[in-house]
Formats: sequence, structure tokens, C-alpha cells
Amino acid sequence: MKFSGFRYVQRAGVYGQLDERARVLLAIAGILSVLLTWDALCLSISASAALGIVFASKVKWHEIRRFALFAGYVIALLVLLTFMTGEGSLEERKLRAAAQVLRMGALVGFTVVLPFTLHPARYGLTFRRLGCPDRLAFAVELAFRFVPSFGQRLERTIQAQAARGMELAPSGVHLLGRLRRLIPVLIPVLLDAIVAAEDVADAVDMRGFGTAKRTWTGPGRWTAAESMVLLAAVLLILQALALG
Amino acid sequence: MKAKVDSRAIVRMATGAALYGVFSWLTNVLPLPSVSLVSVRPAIVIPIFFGLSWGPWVGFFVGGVGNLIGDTLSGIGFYPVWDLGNAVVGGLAGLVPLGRKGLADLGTWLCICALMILGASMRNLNQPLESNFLPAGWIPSEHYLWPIGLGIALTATWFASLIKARARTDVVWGLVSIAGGIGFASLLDMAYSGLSFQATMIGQFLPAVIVNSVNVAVLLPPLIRAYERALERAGR
Repeated sequence: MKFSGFRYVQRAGVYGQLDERARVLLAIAGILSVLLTWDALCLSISASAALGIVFASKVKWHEIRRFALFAGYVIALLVLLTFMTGEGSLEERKLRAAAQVLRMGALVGFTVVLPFTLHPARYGLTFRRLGCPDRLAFAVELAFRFVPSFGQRLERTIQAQAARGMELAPSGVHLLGRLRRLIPVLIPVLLDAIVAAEDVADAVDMRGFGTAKRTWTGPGRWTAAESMVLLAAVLLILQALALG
Repeated sequence: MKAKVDSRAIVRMATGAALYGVFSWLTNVLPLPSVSLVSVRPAIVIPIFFGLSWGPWVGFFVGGVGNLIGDTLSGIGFYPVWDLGNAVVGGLAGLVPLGRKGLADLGTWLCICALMILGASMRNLNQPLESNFLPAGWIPSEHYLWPIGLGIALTATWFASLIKARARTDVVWGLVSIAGGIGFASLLDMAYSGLSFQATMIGQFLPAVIVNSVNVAVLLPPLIRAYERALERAGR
């Protein structure tokens, strides 16, 4: 199993040039607009906006193909199950299923391009500039920074255990057996990470983290384009509130 | 209880969240037959372990942000309700250090009570689902729902007696936090997904709670044991 992680590349185009805060706010507004309503018209508007973001982001199809296929499978499964177990007449359930497809598709669209377009080293900066407290912003940034290295550790551990003859999910083994087979992977990776975290915490302490007000630096500017995006985000929420 | 969020807690939050995200990615591809996105996720022990070890704030962050990272890595979008539900799982587990010594028996009794309440609540689920697809009366009659609830409670008690005292408290609290977190998210999700109460409980809450309880019962005790041994070896 190959861990791909987040594959950030600086993108051309309007969306790629926007300030990170604007992109995050647009995604949050999009999610809210979808969660606030079941109205098919509102959801169509939100889904169209999400599709527009995917195209504007200039993320290539081959980059998100794996995500899109998995999301498609999950959406199909959930819509089918909700359709089968839902209340009301057949027509009502058909309408509900269509709305659910739009809703979940929009949720995926609003968020799938974020990891490809947000610089991994700027999560903390972005959240801080959005008003998060220093400690929370720092924790979020660290978490996203740790992901690739932990993914590689996990991959290495699985390979090492496979070299010793362990199969993670062999055929003919029941669920409990498969769970137990996770122990030789879970425990080394977890303990290794916790021990490493102590060293990181020492380093953070030695640099005097939390003893004075933290300063953040990095590129970013709020121009008219970002204000327009913010206006669009507010309109998305308002249309969900008004029409929904 | 280590409720103070110092630099060490921040690094542990970040570590736990990244680990939970990566392990969730590993197992998100195994969805369960349910009416919502419930996957076989052994990684649920991670927020519980971090909560138990370092308090509610660490557990809360690890559950919430870790779930978000896992969903991002899998590419299935953000589901704020379930992010919050996972955060509650970690946060509730983090409440156990409030008084670990006195909680062994209390935790066991709380778990049994929770299971009894679950069994009792199944009385309300006795009505057939209002669906044209599912055959009416597919849910067992209430006459044997009580014995099922009692059977689950007795099995849980027997299972708890097999585990050593310290790990038992942790496992029991892990189960309580799973029931609390998933119950919270399931009820919130009712409004969002448009499911009925019955469908939510039977199709969403129960599969998630049962599978995650098995995950915790199997994976949490060896994890805690290994961590304690690692601490002894490191002299910390």
C-alpha cells in the first residue's frame, strides 16, 4: 500500500493565486451552505460552485482520480442505502437521493482541492491569520507537517513486518484475527512517534515557545480579489438560508 | 487530570492527530454495511489512548483534527458532525484521569448501565421502519429485545472480568466514550443526513459502536501495556 500524502504544487490561475485565507473561508462557507439546506435548487448552486472551484484550481484529473473514484463509490453506496431505508413515497425518496448526490458531491468538491493547493508550511499561518489562537494554529500546522513522515513510517513498518512473513489482511482470517495482526504495525509506529514527540517537545521548549507572544511571517495579501471571494462565500450561505 | 495545554501537550496533540489521520487513511477503504459512512477503523484507539494518557483537550484535538486529516487523505470531503463526534470520543476518554483509582468499579458499572439503557432504548426501535423497500417486522419483537440487551451487558461484564484492573478501567472508559461520541454524532447527523431515528440508531449508531468497541477491546490493552513498558525502559 503506497502512502501518497498531500501533493502540494504551486498552481497557476486565479484560484492558485488567491490568499490561503480566502480559499479556506470559501471552503467553510461552501460546507455550511450545503449543510444548511436540502433544497435541490440551493444544492445545485452550491454543487456548481464546488465544480467551478475544482476547475479553477487547475488540479489535474490524474491527481484527484483516486479520491474521486473512492468518493463516488461512497456516495453511491450511501445514496442507495438512504434511498432504500428512507421515509416517504417513491417520488420523495428519488428527490431526496438526487439532493443527497448533489450535497455529498458538493462537500467533496469544496474540500478535495484544498490539500493540493494549500502550502503545507502555511496551515498554521493561515489559521492564525483567520483568528485562531497561537497554540491551536501551531498544533494544526504541526499535525499536517507530521503526516508525510508518519505515513512513511507506517509504510516502512508494514514492509518490515511483511519481510518477516506477516500479512496484514490475509484471506480466510476473521475480523478479530485481522485486528490482532494490526498490533505489530500499530504499536511500533505509535511508540516511535510518541518518543519522537518528546524530542520535538524538548526542542519547542528550548526555543521558548509560549513564553511570549508568537510572531508569524509568510507571504499573503488581502486584495480586491480576496474580498470578492469572501462576498461570494457570504452569498453562498445567504442563498442557502434564504431559499432553503 | 492534565488539562493545561502547554507546549508538550501541543506536540502530543499534533502527533496524535497525524497518527490518527494516517491510520484512518489505511482503514477508510473498508466501509461497513450501514446507512452512513461507517468504516472498520481500528485507529479509533488512538484518540482514546491519547485522551486517557494526556487528558481531554489532547484527546479532543486528536479525535477531531485526526478524523479531518484521515478524511482529507482519503478524499471523501469534510464531515464536521463526525469530526466533532470523534473529538468527543477522545475528549470523553480524557476525563478518566479525573480519579483513576476510584473509577475501576464505577467505570464498569457505568458501562453496564449504558448497555442496559441501550437495550431499553431498543424498545423504541421496535416499530418497523417506514420504508417501502424493507419488509415490515424485520426488527426483532420487543419480547426478546430485553434479553438481547441483558445478554450484551452480561457478555461485556464477563469480558471486563478477563482484563486486568488497570486496562479494564481504560477499556470500559474507551467503550463509554465511543458510545458517547458516536451517539452524539449520530443524533446530530440525523438532521444532516435526513435519516429517521430508527434508521440512525440501527443503521448508523449500532454498527459503529459494536465494531469500534471490538477494536478498543482488542487493541487498547496491548497498546497501553507496550506504552507502559516503553516508559519503564526509558525511565520516564
